[in-house]
Amino acid sequence: MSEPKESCLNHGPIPSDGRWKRMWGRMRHMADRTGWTADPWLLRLMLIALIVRLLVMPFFAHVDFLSEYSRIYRSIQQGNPFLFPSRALVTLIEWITLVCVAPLLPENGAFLMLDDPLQPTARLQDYFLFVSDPGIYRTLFLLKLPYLAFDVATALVLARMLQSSPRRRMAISLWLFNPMTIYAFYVFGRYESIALFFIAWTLSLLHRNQFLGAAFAFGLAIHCREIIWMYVPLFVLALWRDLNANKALRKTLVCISLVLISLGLTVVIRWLFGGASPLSVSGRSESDFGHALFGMQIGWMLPFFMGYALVCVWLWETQTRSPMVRFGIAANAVLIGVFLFATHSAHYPSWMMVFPLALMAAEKITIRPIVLFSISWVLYWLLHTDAGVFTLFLASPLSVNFFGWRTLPQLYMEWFGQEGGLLSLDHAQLLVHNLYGACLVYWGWRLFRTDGHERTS
Amino acid sequence: MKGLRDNFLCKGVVILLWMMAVPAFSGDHDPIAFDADAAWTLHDIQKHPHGVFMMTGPDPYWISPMVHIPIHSVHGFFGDLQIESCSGPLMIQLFWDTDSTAYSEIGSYRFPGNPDPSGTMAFWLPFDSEWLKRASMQSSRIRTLRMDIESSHPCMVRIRQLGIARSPRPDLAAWIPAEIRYPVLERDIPSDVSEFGQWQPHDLEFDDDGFWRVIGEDPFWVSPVLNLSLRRVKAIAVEMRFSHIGSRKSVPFQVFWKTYGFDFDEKRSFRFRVAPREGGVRYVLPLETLPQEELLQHIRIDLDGCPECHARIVSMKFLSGEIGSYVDQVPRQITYALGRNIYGRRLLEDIWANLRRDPGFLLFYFACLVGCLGMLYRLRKWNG
Repeated sequence: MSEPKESCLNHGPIPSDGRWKRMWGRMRHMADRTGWTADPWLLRLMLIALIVRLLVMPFFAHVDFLSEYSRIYRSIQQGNPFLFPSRALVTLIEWITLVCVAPLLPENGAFLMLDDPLQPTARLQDYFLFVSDPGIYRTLFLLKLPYLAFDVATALVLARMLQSSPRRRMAISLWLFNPMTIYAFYVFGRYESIALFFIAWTLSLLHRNQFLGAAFAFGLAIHCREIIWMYVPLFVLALWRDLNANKALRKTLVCISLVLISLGLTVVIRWLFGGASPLSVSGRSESDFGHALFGMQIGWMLPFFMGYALVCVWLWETQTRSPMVRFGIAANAVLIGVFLFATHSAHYPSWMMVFPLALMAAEKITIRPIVLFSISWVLYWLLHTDAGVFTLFLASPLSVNFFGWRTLPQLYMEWFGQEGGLLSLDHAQLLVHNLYGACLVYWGWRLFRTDGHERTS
Repeated sequence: MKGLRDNFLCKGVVILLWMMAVPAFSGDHDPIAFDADAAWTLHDIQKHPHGVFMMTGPDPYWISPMVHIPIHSVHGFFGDLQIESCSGPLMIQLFWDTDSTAYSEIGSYRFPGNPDPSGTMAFWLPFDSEWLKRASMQSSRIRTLRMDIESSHPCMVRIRQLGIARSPRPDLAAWIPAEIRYPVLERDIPSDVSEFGQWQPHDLEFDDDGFWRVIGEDPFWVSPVLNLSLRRVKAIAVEMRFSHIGSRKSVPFQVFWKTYGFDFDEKRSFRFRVAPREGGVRYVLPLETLPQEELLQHIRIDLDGCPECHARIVSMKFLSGEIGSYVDQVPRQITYALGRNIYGRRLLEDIWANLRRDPGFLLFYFACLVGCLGMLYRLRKWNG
């Protein structure tokens, strides 16, 4: 690790009174640990990213944001943080956040309560009432603060991980300014940043060969999002190496046990607390999640499982390689497999963003695929948008009026007519969908193409 | 001779007085009526022999000859038509214009035409010049009548009579069409909806304690026919009492509205929550987002979001002036009819208006932004 250069904290434009000194001292300590003081460009970047996030945070939300926090509010009322036992860690973080900020919210947060106590998700009517409250902007701002904190923390983890990489600036820029994560965390208002932080932390610890810590961090990530259950076999296989060495075997088994215990813990939480959950009462089964979460057709899932199996075979065949690289590539490739067949929600691709950036620490460079995919993602959702994809999220009392707004597909039909032909909307949508898929395939190809060139950590 | 002359003079004076008195007294109260042979101005209509009119286009109407009657002397309009060869429903609309106003949608009668099996259709449309409060209108004279008939198929119409009554005709009350929309321009706005009649309950049962109890899945009260111009009614102020709301802190409401052009509609309804205080709620609903050219026919207050509630409507008043001072009584959480709100007509205006209602956050938010920009500015020369 290179020593940070002397910063400007002792001279130049930084103020010299006591409070500023103390504040800058703390910032310097934190920045030194992540190597930020060596690169003021990154600090400026972080401030610009913070301003972008501040501009977006109070003014957007999806109806799922209300659903999430209405569940948390009911959990608080019943004194059971795991009333809705999915995503226990995220729930706990949001629970603590809501408890802390409730006095600052309208009606002390009571306006998050839905009419029907058995209603696990909010309806649009509930959402319109929610966003019409004059306190909606402070509510969105305050309740998104944990997402911002974990988003920034992920950037710090990546910065530390990429400290010696020449592509650190690029990687941090791609994290801070990629449209998918900004959309997912601050426009859609989703808790994905928490899960992604723990994944980034896992990758960082794997990179430093701290496998026990990585297993612990990954165990926490499992409690953040159901999709991470899909990574469990990949993580286990990524750690499974060098079985001939007893010490390594013992260490590997301990790590794998830790992950499996963590996985089992989610089942225990569901068993202990899930019975009281309105999800159980309203009759939604876990088996619904596969379809509801990914919007997958069963027929399309077959090639996904084939791809998944191939990734597992690849992991088995590359046991001597760095676990971070193997896990990062495998998880990223599996997600690419998911998104080749599923475009259920615009914020899902944010799940992928942390892997390629962490892989840059091992010289796996996939900058061009990320940029191209980001562009294709924007194009795809612009042409496949309806009132519910972008415009409806603007938290404004105008609410239903958004349905009157013309979307790009409507404008496209006005420009090129509604008749079929090469320029028809159907063809344009098919074209951008193919472009979207091609960018994903390109991304996957670049992931494996760069394989075998990483520096050992 | 002198006696003869005196007698002649006397009779002459009497005859003269009688001649002058005819237009001055009895003539002013006679109805004015036009039949098929009058000098009608026709549009999308062809006149056939024997007083038969055949509709030939999509917008058929008759305009009467000039009448020039002071509007304060008009007590109503009447018609006696023979309608034949009509296969679909009919809608009749009667307009009038004055020397100061043109035909207007809001100043017209509108009602469905329901001829009897022989094709005869007679109607009586009462009119009260007190509805017209403006001085210029009070001194106006009705110039012409215009009758429109809307029908999906061309009809054959005979006009036996169409005219203006200049005396009260309570005896014709039975001929007022059932589903009539009255012309309203400057009609006085009553202070409370109860002056129009009683609220009609649905899926609600009156309890001994004086409150209504929900007994079905679709509980609501619907107002009597209001016929109020939405240009004049800016808002409604409702007061309700509750004897029981269960464990709720706030009661969800849905208020529907109906005009002659728009039926009760889920998308155009108001939704809001109000927290009762001391067993009562008061709220103001701005109506400025409703179509201003329409007549408000009914208001419907739904209680289906609170099946355990026991409630009653104390009053519903109409606000006709500036409603800016009532903003505090508008429920905090409300979606407005047609999805608009009262603060502005554009998206950013609305966001800004709502943001201004939370000045504490606005200050904090801008402080955060300015702080970040300030730090960025201070770091501009830092090169590590």
